This record gives sequence, C-alpha cells and structure tokens, in this order.
Amino acid sequence: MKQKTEQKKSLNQGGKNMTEEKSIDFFEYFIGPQHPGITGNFGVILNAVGDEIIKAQANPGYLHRAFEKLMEQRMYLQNVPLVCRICVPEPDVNEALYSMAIETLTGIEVPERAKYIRTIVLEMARLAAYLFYFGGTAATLGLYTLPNWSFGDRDYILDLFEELTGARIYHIYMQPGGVRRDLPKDFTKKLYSLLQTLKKRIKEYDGIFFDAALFKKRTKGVGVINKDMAIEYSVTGPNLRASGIAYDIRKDTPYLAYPDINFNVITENEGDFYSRVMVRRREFEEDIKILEQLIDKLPSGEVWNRYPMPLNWKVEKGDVYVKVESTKGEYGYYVVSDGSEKPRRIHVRGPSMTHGIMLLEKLLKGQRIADISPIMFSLDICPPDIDR
Amino acid sequence: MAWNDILKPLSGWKFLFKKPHTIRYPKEDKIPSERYRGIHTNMIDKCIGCGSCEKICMNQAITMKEMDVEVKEGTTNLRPVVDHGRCCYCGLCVDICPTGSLWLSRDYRHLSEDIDTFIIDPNVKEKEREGWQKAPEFSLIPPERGKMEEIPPEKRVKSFMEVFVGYTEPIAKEEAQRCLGCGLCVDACATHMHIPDYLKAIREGNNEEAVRIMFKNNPLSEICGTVCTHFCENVCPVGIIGEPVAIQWEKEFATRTIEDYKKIIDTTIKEKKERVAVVGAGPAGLSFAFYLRLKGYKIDVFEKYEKPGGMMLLGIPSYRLPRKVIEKEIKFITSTGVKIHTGTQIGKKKTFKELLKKYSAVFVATGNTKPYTMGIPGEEGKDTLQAISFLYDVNTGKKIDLKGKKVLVVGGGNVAMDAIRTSRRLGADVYLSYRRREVDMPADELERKEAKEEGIEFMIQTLPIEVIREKGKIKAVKYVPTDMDFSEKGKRPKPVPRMNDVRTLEVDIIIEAIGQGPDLTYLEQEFGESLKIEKGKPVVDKNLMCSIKGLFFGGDMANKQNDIVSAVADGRRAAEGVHNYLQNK
Ligand SMILES: Cc1cc2nc3c(=O)[nH]c(=O)nc-3n(C[C@H](O)[C@H](O)[C@H](O)COP(=O)(O)OP(=O)(O)OC[C@H]3O[C@@H](n4cnc5c(N)ncnc54)[C@H](O)[C@@H]3O)c2cc1C
Ligand code: SF4
Ligand code: SF4
Repeated sequence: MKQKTEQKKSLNQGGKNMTEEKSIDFFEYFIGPQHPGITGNFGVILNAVGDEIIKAQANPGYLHRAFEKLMEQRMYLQNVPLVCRICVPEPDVNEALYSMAIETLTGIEVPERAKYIRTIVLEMARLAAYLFYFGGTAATLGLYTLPNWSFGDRDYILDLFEELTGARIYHIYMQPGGVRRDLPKDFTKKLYSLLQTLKKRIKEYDGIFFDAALFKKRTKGVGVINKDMAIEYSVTGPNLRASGIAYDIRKDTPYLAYPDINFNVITENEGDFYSRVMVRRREFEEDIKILEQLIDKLPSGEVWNRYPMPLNWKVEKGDVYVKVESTKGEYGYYVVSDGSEKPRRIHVRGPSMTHGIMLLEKLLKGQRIADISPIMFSLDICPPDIDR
Repeated sequence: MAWNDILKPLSGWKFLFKKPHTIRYPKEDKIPSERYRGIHTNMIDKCIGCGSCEKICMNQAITMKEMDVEVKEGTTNLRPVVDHGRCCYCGLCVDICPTGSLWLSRDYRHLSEDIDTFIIDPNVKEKEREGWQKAPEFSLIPPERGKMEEIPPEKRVKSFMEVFVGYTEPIAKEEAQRCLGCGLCVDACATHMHIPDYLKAIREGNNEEAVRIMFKNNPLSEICGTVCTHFCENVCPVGIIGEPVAIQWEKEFATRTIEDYKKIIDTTIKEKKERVAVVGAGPAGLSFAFYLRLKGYKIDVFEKYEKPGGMMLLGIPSYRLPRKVIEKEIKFITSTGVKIHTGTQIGKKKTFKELLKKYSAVFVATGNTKPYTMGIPGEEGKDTLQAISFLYDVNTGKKIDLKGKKVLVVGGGNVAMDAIRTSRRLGADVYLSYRRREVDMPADELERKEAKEEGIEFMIQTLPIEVIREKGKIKAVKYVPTDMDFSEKGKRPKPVPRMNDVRTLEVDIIIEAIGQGPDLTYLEQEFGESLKIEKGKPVVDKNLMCSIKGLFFGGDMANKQNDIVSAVADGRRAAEGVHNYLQNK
C-alpha cells in the first residue's frame, strides 16, 4: 500500500467524484502477482478511495513463457508436451484442441474409442478444475474447510490421471489421431466408484458451503453481469450461463463423444457471484452424469490412428479454428500451417483474456476491497492463458 | 435465509474423529502408478546409440555421449545422458526409441543443492524401476513400409519380366518419411552412401538431388536400387519396430525418375596425361573407371565378354535386373570418356605384364569364375550343371528348354535362388536342397518368399550324398536329412547328416550353387611367387594394391562380401588408391 496524495492531481484529471473529495486519502494498491487471493501469478492495480475501488487495472504478463512463439519453433509432435502448460488447473483442453486442429488439417481420423477416452479425460479434468474452483473461491471468503476437502477429493481424480497417463497434472496424453495409451486395467471401474464418492461429497459440500448463510450473504448481488453486458464483453462458459444464457459448446457445436451424450445446459439468472458459483456447483453433478454415460457407452477398438514419423512430419497447408468448452469458457486454437514440419502460427484463444482483463476491470469498479479476490475467483481466471 | 443455512455448516464437525484419508507422508510413501513418467533409465547394452531420443526431445534434455561400450554392427558408442533440469517428463523419447531400451521409471525424487547432479546418466545393465515404457503399438515409428506392387506369381513364372513394379511418387515420399536420420545404415553400406540425405531429398520431392547424392558414392545406384544385398536395411533400427525403411526401393524409385544422368550430374573433367587400365567390366571395374576418370585419368577397360556388365549381366537373371537398367548406367559411365574394349581377354594374347608396362597402373577385377562342387559319387556328367554356367548360358541367349524336367538345385544363397527361379521360368519342376535351417540361408528373405510363391519346393535340412545314373543319365539323387549342431558359440550351426536315413528323389538335372571362387591361374603363370596370395585371393593393402607395384585388385576376387555394392566400394577405394599412388610416385 502506498500513499499517493502527491499524485492526486494528475490521476484526478480523468476521475469523477475524486476532485471534490480531497479530504479522503487516495490509495494505489498492488494486489498480486504474489498474493494468496490471486489466481496464479497475476496482478491488479487498484485505485481506491477508502474501501471503494474507483479504478482497477489488470496487470498480467508474469507467466509469459512465449508459448505461441515457441510453438512456431518446434516440430508438430513436440508441441504436444508444451500446450498443456497453458492452463494449469485444466490442461487437457489444450491437448484436445491442439490435436483436433492438426486432425482437421491432416484429415487423420480419431477412432471412436479414442474420442470417448478423450471425452472422459476432459470431463475428469472439469471435475478436478471445479474442485479447485470451489476450494479457491471459498478460501477467498475466509471459509477454509472447503478447500481442504475439495483439494483432497481432487487428488483422487489426479490419482486416476496418474494411472491413465503417467502424470498427475500435465498429462501429455492426447496426441493427434487419438491418445497415447489405452485405458489401464479396471480404469472405468475405479472411475465409476470415484464418481459415486463425489456424488456424496458434493452433498456434504452443500452443508458446509453452498447452503451456508455466510456464503449466500457474501455473494448474492455481488459483481453482477447482466445478459447484455455478458454479450457485450464476450463472456463465455459458466460465467455466461450464470447470466441466464444457455450456451455451451458441448451442446451447440458438439465435438468428440458429446453428440452421443445426454446432458442439461445449466443456467442461473442473476449473473452475480452467487449464480456463477452455483452454475458450477450444479454442472459438477451434470458432469458426473456425463462421465457415467461415457463409461456405459465406451466402445472397444483402437485408440490411435498414427501420423507419419514425427521427425519428418509435415502438416498439410491450411488454417483452422477449433474450440471446446472449458470450465473457464470458450477455449480455442487457431492454427496456420504453411506445409512445413513446424506450425507457421498458433493463436490460443483462452477465455481468461476477456474475463480477466476487460470484464474484471469493469466489474471491480465500485466494489469493496474485500470483494476483489472473491470476484476474481468467481470468474475462474487462469492467467497463463492470458500470457500465452 | 433460513435458520437451517446457519446451522448446516456445523455438519462438518462429524469428520473430526474420522480416519484421515490422505497419505501421511513421510510415514506413508506414495507409490507411483505403473505408467508413471519419472526419472530415465536406459539399458546400455540394448541401446544402439541411434540418437532418436535426442532428436525428438524439444527441451534438449538429452545429449548423446561417447561411452565405453562394445560397438557391434548397426550400433554406435553413443548413449543418452539426461539433464533433468530441462526434462519435462513427456516420454516422447521413450515412445520413439526403437529398441525399447529407454524408459521413464517410477522414481521421481532427486534432491540436491548441486545442480550438476541433475544431469543423470540413465544407463544401467539390468532392467529396473519400470514405469512409462515402450508399447509397440504406440511406437512413434510407423512399422509398415510402403507397399510394393508385384506381378502375381502365376503370371511372372511364364516370362522373364521384372517382378516388382516399383514405387510411385506418393508412396516413395511417405516411405522416406520413416527414416529416423540416425545414419547407422551409412556405416553398414559398403560404399557408405549418404542414405538419410537422399531420403530427405526424396521426401522433399527433389529426386535429382537424391540421385546426385547417390552417385557421389555409387555410379551403379539404379542397379543397386534394383538388386542390392542392402545391408543398410539389416541395421536400420526401424526394422526393430517393424519393417526397415525400404532404402533399396527408394533408390530404385529416385534413379528411375531420371532419364539421362548426364543432364543432372556434373562430369566436367580436367584431363591428366596418365593412362590406367582396368581388367574386367563388372561393377568393380566400372566404378573404378568412373571415379578415376572423373579425376582426369584416361581409362581403358578390357572385358572378355562381348558386352560390359560382368555378373550383373551374365549371372543375375533379367526378371530381377532388366538389361536396360545395366545399359543405362554403363552408357553414363562411358559418356565420361571411359573406353571399354569388349571381347578382349587379358592373360591370353594380351598379358597383364604388358598392361603394366603400357599403363601407369592396372586395376584387376575379374570376379569369381571358378564354381565349387559337392564331390559326391556320380556327380560328374553333362546333366550336372554349375549354377553360374547355367545362368551364363541363359543370359547369353542360349536356348534351354526344361519343360517337364525335374531339376534339383543344391545351395542356399542368392545364386541358388536365381537358379531355381530361372529353371522354373524355363518350365521345370524345381526342388531346392539346403543343408541348414531356412533361417540360416544367406538368400534374401523376400526372394525365398517369392520362390515359394512360384511353386518351388524347399527341401530344408537335407544333404545329397550320391547321384544315381542310368546309362550315364541322372535318374535320382540319394540324400539324407540333417540335424543342427549348435555347440560352436557365435557361429552358424553345423549340419550333421543322419546317415542311417537315406532317401531318394527322382530328378533329371542337378544344378550346383554352393559357391564360387576366383580363378587366378593366368596371374600366377605370369607373376609367379611375386604375387602374394592368401586363401585363394590376392593380398592387398588399404589402397587395394597388391605385392606388385601399380597392380590393384578389387571386387569378388579380392573381397569377402561378394556382392555388387562391395565391388563398387572396392572400385571407388581403388580409384582413390591409384590416384594417391600416382600422385606420390
Ligand atoms: C547368379 C548371381 C546372382 C547374383 N545376385 C546378386 C545380387 O542380387 N546382388 C548383388 O549385390 N550381387 C549379386 N551377385 C554378385 C555380384 O554379381 C558380384 O559380386 C559382382 O558382380 C562382382 O563384381 P566384380 O566386378 O568383382 O566381378 P564380375 O561382376 O564377376 O565381373 C568380372 C568381369 O571380368 C571379366 N573377366 C574375367 N576374366 C577376364 C579376363 N581375363 N580378361 C578380361 N575380362 C575378364 C568377366 O567377363 C566379367 O565381365 C550375384 C552373382 C551371381 C553369380
Ligand atoms: S521425457 Fe520428454 S523432455 Fe524428458 S528427455 Fe524425454 S523427450 Fe525430453
Ligand atoms: S532412441 Fe533408444 S536406442 Fe536410440 S539412442 Fe536413444 S535410448 Fe538408445
């Protein structure tokens, strides 16, 4: 915290009510990039008068590892281990998108079983990401029981990921043409039994958090995004559905195994903090149902159609945009190939760019300092996908 | 807001006395999953040092380092060393490793303040700490080679038409993609052709460049593309996963896209005054002539037969090697100014000594002309043929009709294959007797397969012991089965005849194809003791010069491999040798 009275004048030039209220001290706060109330290494510079924020400026860039540029320097397969790093809590969407883009460019078909396995991975990742989200959001409100529970439960999903892919976080499991290994023995059985546990657990979460008066009091009516604003700011994913717009890429332009699966698109109407959490709370159960159906319908057969030897693999000239529904919103990859063994350009459209910069800056204005972290968490921002 | 919402959170208390469900580290340890991708391990003796792991790693975590290991054929002394400060544990190196020697173990802990300890030598003797490892069906190397079309057996036995149709451009390009670029094949090739480079040119659609690269080491590239013994393919590590890269067929494809080599290969020559003679216009003599001519020497080649080509023309049947292919490459060689004098046998009217006087140096490559025989009772007679003479007769246009005849060919090498398949094409019922197991046959696997498709009966592990004749004509052959004696380690098993189990097979003709050696009588007559000979071959130094100054030897008569590409390599080496000799004289 830094007192900036001497700068008042210059800052006030664009300000509104500031000019009159000379008696109240004006503060500039730096929240992040190292702050427990921040999602990842990300920052917001706040101008506040008393407890009220008059200006918020997102301050990204701390996670910039030049992913997009790096990808231009690497052979196509060599990007598979890289892309997952673009979103830590839900890396798998990147793997799916990168593979889907290459598959569209090359025409490599994905076997049915691989489509199902990929969908299982994506849905498991959704559950894991939501558990992370629930815990994180509760923690910003000072309710620390839920993160202890939900992070522990998330570990069970990571255990299964480890069995399936050999790694807990960065799975590097999907590859163009399918996946890198078939399901290990008894995998679906273990997954099914975990789903039953999670079904019970979410009810227990209700007791300590989702139904709790404290949670409701702190969140209802806070950080409202109404329908018009949601559209104006290109809001996507659960944040959009919390504002009453039933749009879900899994339903509207279905990919992988989603066309075969029955599920409801969950919406809430208020567009506030509470709705954003509750959309995800209800989707959690919907995702469990999706996984149960995937296990039920899982076809047998091959799980990979091969591409040429990766050291000499040239991808057909062309460009393509592919998108999937992530827990954070619409995730997309625009891939351009010039026909050589390295991509010419890859653009990653992460949902956090819109949610974490334009939208967040707008939403924070007029809020109280104590609500900054909760609001940011409620939007489920993943900074590395801003800093590609 | 209901009262309930205020009281409900207290439900969390019920867990206070439950057993914790997380791992109590460090009392309990986490056991990583079976597929866990942890610290590398590499079986040092299984690894061939191909360096594919190093190439695929985008983090440059792997460096190939020279190690103290035995370097067998098709291997190097390089082994991977991994910088775990760079590794992201993706396992791509494991999935591309053709041998499966490399895997990611279930160990994941390494703590140290010393950063150098993060560079780990993963090489071990025994398999240990399994984790993410090779799964053949998920290997990043496509196991199958591009399909080669061939004429069906029913059709091909009726004529001497070429069996293989040859690769099309798309298949050739796709096949060339399978190359790992390790270069192990370059060492295995007698003339060290730059295989990865020309495969790269082929997959980039630049066949002219590919052919230019080939001709740097081999002026008979199209012939080798058609009938080479392809030792390169035997060591290709892709062959550990599935079929090796079809190096030979790729060579055939690229060369056949070029109509006239003269148009794409630079053969400008700065003339020198020295003249060099060559005896024998087989592959060794022709390659020698080509490379030495490019250095500016004037070359005269003397050939006994009325056409150049040697065993390629007189031994190898035309269904395997079309004559126009031989003519095309020889035409290119002579276009550089090499003079070939056919119908000129050296040693009779013209002597080697005369040549040595008239020319600055002489390269002799007269091949193997003396066939070995079985030496069994009843063997001698007009109807016991020598494979090379039989093939010579067929290839020089002598009319031979074997319709309705029963022919027994004895042997298991490529000459035997040519004898059986040629007999079959001339209408005979053909049997092949070989004294070891089929896997021990020196003959190419593909040829064996094709011969069987053509209806030839393989009598494996049999040994003829007597030829029964009636009025001088062969009636039958007595033979016995053999057992294999594996007692000599590291050597081919020895056949042991079961002499108490004699069987008979009625046949009309026997063709012996059990090997041949050089005939050095002329040379011995001329040079006597001054020409050093060991095990039937002239002794030569690394430049291929023998004990007589200015006299060089190469090809079948001097090397052990006895194939075209080794003859080419000898020719190329001797060209360098003669050049060095003449420059330093
Ligand atoms: C039936 C058969 C099939 C074969 N198949 C294959 C195959 O598929 N792939 C492969 O790589 N190799 C094959 N080989 C082996 C290959 O043909 C030889 O290794 C190669 O031709 C040896 O070359 P060279 O130049 O040493 O001798 P040769 O090719 O034998 O040439 C020697 C030449 O010297 C001439 N000559 C001999 N004496 C004199 C003299 N006194 N004066 C003048 N000229 C003389 C001969 O007429 C002949 O033209 C086969 C051999 C045979 C017999
Ligand atoms: S695991 Fe991946 S990053 Fe590590 S050495 Fe192998 S290829 Fe490189
Ligand atoms: S890819 Fe395998 S065989 Fe080749 S050098 Fe690496 S570890 Fe050895």
